[in-house]
Amino acid sequence: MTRGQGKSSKKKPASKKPAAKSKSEKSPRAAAAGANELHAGSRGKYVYCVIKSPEAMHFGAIGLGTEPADVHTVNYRDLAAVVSDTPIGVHDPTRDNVLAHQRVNETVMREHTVIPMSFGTVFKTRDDIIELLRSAYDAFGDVLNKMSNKLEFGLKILWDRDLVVREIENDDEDVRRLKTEISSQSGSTYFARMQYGRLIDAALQQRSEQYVAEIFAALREVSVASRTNKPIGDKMIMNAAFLVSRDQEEAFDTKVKQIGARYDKLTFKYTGPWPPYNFVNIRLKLERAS
Amino acid sequence: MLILDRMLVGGIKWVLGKIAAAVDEQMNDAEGLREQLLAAQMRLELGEITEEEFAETEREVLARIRELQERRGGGQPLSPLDGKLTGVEATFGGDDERGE
Repeated sequence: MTRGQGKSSKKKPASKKPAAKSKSEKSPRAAAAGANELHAGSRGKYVYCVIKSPEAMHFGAIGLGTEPADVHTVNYRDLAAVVSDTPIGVHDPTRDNVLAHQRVNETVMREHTVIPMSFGTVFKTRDDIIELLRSAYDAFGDVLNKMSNKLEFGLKILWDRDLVVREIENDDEDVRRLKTEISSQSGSTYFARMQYGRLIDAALQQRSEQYVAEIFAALREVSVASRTNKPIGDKMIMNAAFLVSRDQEEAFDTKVKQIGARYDKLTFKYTGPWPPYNFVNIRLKLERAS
Repeated sequence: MLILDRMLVGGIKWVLGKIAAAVDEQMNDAEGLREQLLAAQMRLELGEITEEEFAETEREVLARIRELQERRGGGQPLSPLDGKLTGVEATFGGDDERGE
């Protein structure tokens, strides 16, 4: 089984730039004024993630937009928000936009521990971002320390329901008997059908829970934490994320492949590494001045 | 390709103050729409629908999400300087954090 990724393409490595102000590095105040001058309030800063970096960094033209925007950092002490300029307005979660958001985080996380932003976060000015980093400085620092050298992997498991139903019909004597009764069509089959349905549902539920429990148990020793999300669609029986230490990445990978081979009737969607979206929960409450 | 589910559920999230209860309902509607979009992506990935069919669903769902967002004044950039950052709540961990 191979591990899927969002979508990767070769990217330019991030280049570190000295912290010294170059000509394009305006003071926060000047930069904010500049943004306002362009078109009153028409440009904002899209934020991809927060990292630890005392220096300003540039990641190249890999951001959102039909012309991928230049991605750079806004720094406050040793924290940095990874941003690009963007038009202000709703950012639809189209595939292009979502891929661009992921492309940036994927690039940045090669060399940094990142706290990912959820999709579509736009700030008004550079100063607003500095204010964010300043106010949440301790919380961000704490989470960055805890996430250091950890990666997220996704594992979604799907089954072919009809195939499992046939298996149950083969394995379970009661189910088999009911099925014969229904197909023989002698008299009313209403109660037999009702009971058949109930038995099948219960057996499906039981099998799905058993698979999920076994798979979680097998991955427990090679991961730091896990999170279960709501399955998507009616074929999915497990939708989970695992947090894995960088030094256990290979062990985790091997284990997933072993499981994939053991449960050959299940379909595995294995993806990563991701920034730890499922393991970082930062809620910032903003009161808007009305 | 199912990247969207991560980006919408996780990471740093904003809770805008002064959001009335009525808006919560709209948020739930938006949640339902996102689930529709994710389900369509899943079906595309499984080959159950074609690219064209997916594109059509995507267009419809995105238009409705946008409509909801615009109705509740979304698309406004965040500005901690204009307003006030009244709460920072950071937690780390999964369902079964087991330490190291």
